[in-house]
Amino acid sequence: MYSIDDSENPQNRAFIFRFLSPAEVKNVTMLSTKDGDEIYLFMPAFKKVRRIAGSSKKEKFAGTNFSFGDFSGGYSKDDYEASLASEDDQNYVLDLKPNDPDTDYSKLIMTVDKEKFYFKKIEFIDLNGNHWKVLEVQEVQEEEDGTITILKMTFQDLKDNTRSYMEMGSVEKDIELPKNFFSVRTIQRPEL
Amino acid sequence: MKQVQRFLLIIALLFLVTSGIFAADINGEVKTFGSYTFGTGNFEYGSSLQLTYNPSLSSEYYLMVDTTLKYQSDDNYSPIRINELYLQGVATPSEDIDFKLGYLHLTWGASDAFSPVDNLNPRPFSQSISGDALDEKIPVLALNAEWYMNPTWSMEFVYQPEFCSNFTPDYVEQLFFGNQLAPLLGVNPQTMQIQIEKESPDVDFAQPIWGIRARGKVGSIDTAFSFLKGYYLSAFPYQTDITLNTDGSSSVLAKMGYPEKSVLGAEFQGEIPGIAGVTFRADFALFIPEQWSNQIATHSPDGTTSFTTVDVFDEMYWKASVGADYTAEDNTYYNLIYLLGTPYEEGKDVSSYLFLRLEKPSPDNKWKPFLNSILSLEDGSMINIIGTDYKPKDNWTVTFSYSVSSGPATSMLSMAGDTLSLNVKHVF
Repeated sequence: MYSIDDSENPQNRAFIFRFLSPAEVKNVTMLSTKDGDEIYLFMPAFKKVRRIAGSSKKEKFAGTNFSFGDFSGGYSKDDYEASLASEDDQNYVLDLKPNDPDTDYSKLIMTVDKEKFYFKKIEFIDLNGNHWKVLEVQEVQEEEDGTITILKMTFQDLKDNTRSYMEMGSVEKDIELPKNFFSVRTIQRPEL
Repeated sequence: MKQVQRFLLIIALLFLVTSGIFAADINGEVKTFGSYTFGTGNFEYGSSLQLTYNPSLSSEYYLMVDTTLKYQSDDNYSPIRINELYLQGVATPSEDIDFKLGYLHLTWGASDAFSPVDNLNPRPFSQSISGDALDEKIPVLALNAEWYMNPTWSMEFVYQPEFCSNFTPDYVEQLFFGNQLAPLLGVNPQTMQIQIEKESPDVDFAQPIWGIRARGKVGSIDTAFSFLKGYYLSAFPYQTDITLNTDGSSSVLAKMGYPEKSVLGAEFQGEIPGIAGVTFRADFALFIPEQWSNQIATHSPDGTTSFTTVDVFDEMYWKASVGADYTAEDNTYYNLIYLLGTPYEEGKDVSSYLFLRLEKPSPDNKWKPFLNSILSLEDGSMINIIGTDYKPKDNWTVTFSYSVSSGPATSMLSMAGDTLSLNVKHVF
């Protein structure tokens, strides 16, 4: 996975994600640009790039509990109205109310580590006020500049009683990428 | 019985071969399939092993070897198939160019079904109407280069110095041709002895098939405009000699060729403003064929000969595929497509269809029931396929389906019959 994060201008956010396994989805590659507004899938078996509606970010991605939006959107302060619900010695608990009227969630409850300032857990509350999904971070890596990179997390759907697990093998930051790397051209290549 | 034994032996061999391949850097799939058509009592079955090897030769060059070993009880195009064999260059010979050279599958079009701009590869014949069968293509020797002019637009070139036609078994070609001629002659197609001679067009390095396609964006819509100069991939008659015998039978000698055609194409995919989650995909193609007619000479038993000319292609015509797909909040997938013409219809035969696909995966994604329907807007005939994919574990898929056809006996869709199918696929 390659991603570019521009907190100054979220429209510049983009990522490319390629499956390495299981075999049936090997080399299926997703490109998300403009902060998830434009999503493309390259499926080697069909030899073409398929556009996915940016507004269908709620759809589950490749049989996982993660939606396109979970991969693409991040949890930007611009997308939510945040208020402090509670705190203890280790964590802040924030209530996040989505600004997007088309969202599936009435609110998100985010548990943030007080010391390192990253989210440890997000509970997704549906429009009827019921707990729907839980995203939990299991392992993080602290960078030299103090930023946090998530290495392992699980995403549980409480309604379906299913769980997906994501693990980053290794993480590199500030790598130099070719011009126009986040493009439809790149995702069709045999190697990223 | 002997056939079934041979079939089982091939299955066993395929699994033996593939078990040794798992360790190598080769991907592939093993597939076995069977279908039974009620009415005709036809049992069709087969199995295949596909192997793909795609190593990098350097940071700029890659090799693709994609082959299939296939056994099928009826109409097998070839037991050993090269699906693709090519050298791929990435950002070479200049930073803005990618290319492929060799035996290629070239896929044009944004549409999910029967794109009318996807005319480069011929196809093998299949009685099956499964997605796998309809996606099969015969590779063409070609150079395919894409020049990325700027971040928004690219220009793709195809140069094809060799002509390759669709594969249709002789008996199928004779059957179709006989059914076309019978109403003209007022004879029973089953009493016709048909012989077909085919002549391929002169295609070589100096007179290639070629195409050009500009891909980019207009506003937020992904767009492509293309032009293809080539030939029809199925043969059409230009001279037919019919001899009517005194016993009511007839013998037919048909000479066929591949008319030249130019195809102007336009492709669009994007979102429908105001309808969240809906992606539309639309392909339009304007076919400009060379003038093509069939000179029919009919020799009667009394020794007289009459001559008729039937225009096969005398004007340009449109084909299109326009659809939209949507995934609902409960993960049900809807795909509705309007088709003007299928790959098997050209010229005056082009007619309208509606195609619908519904999928509803189970929460754990092990089951995916589906419904595929195609309805002819011309004669009301239709095929409905209801079935399910089942994934017992990663990389295994079992597909079970039942298709029902209806409509006038002469319609293409109703001729498919009612069929029960079972496919098992393992990807490694």
